[in-house]
Amino acid sequence: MTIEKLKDKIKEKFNLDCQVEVGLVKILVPKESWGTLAEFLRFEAEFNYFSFITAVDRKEKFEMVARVENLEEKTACEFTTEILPNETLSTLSELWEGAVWQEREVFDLFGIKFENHPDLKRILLPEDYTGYPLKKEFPLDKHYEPYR
Amino acid sequence: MNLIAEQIETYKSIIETEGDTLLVNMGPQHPSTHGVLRLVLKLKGEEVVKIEPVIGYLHRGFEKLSENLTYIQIVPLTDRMDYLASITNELAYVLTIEKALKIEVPKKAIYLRVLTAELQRIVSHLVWLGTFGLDLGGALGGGSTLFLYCFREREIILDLFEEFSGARMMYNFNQIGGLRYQPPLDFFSKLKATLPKLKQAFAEYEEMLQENYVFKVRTKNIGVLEVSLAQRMGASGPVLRGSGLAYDIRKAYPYSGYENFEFEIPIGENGDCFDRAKVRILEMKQSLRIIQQALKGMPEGEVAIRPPVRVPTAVKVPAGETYMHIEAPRGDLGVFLVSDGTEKPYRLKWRAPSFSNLAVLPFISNGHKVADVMAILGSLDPVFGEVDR
Repeated sequence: MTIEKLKDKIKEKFNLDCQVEVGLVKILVPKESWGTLAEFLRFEAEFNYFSFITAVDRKEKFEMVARVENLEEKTACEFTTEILPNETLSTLSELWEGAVWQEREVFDLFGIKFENHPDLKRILLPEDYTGYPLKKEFPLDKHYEPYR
Repeated sequence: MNLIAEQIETYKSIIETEGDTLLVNMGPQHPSTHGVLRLVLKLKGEEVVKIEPVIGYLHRGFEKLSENLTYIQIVPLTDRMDYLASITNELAYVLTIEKALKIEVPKKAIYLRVLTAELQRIVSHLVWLGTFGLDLGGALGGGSTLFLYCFREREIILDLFEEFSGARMMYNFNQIGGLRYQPPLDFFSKLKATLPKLKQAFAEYEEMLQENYVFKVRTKNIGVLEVSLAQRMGASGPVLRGSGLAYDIRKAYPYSGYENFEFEIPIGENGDCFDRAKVRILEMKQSLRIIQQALKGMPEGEVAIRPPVRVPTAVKVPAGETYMHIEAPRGDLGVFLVSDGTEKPYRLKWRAPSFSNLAVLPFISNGHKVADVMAILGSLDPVFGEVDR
């Protein structure tokens, strides 16, 4: 599927506008259609390669960014959504197995929970660690006791 | 009760069992784990039923550190990620910043970047090949023979790097807008003299492995990774190419002038350990080809858009999001930068190839013997500086 065709299809199906660059589509999706859009990208648009998922702490909200690619056609898609700090997001790990570890990393460092994730626990930090270091509120200028 | 029976009773209380399976901890200080990785193996006799990698022992919080350093200060930090391929990490980072700032670097810098990145790929693959030989055990030419052969060749290249940058492994050599140093006067002639030696050594390795019966038995049909699973897992580099997909970012999204160089993408057929090893050995040969072309076409001139200064002026990246990925020795190394217009990044995410490649391990080791787990792990070639960041 070419980039232009993909853009039209997303407009038709989800009523979303995308930003198009060379070989790349950027979509801002509402939180509710995160899962359905991912399903569309995986099965219809055939973005088989899972590059990464990460979060950006915008203080009052989290911006979630995921990037998937179609290696044969050399196209990529970055889809973004915004969630509030206490909200959860549906998992991508049922569509791309690579998301299992990547989402665990996001949970570990940001404290964002994913619904239906098979194994949501800390990955880089020890299990008895408290706090989420990549949050902007994480204290850097004073002594911090991270362990329970 | 005699002494032996007593000991057996003691061991029984220590050993964890679940039905007829046995839990075994491998690592974090196991020599075949290439760093600090713990594997929780669930065994049924000699056979692996389930395997769970536990990572994070080398986590140094790069992403958090980066948010509190200026753009220029981050470059030496990137060296410590994948410490076997420092230059490619630097390259990924500086290319991201240059993409965000829309900087064009001088042509000589572009050529030197390609040259050093390919030398680094050879160095990295040599370390992999040596340690892979160790993982498979003494059958490959008797213990550490292959390891020492590889390190002999690696040393030649590291000496060249040392002359160029002053450091053997942590170069801090690429900078935003070019390179830090002009190469020394005799650098190119020394490099040219080295290339035939390397070429001969690669031929030797190939002969040593491809025709070696023990090597074939240990690696063929072990840890077969299907190409569709590899893609869904985000596996990249030789792991993906070993499964038969000719995807190389140097060809797919050429960066830093790679479109000017001729090379092939070696691929495997079955996606087993043997294919992954074969791809890496062939890749080293292709890297030599690129180096020869870079030497031939090396332009004259400056290597940076401004000369190095003692106190670097602050680099401010305009607000926005930038993603750049390059083909590191281990695969798709991506940098996702969110900038807010200040001199420090707002968020810097590293998409580390080793992280995604290692995640494949539980999917491909089931049903194999314990000894094969080392072969599979070695063939995935994770570097824990990068997995844990």
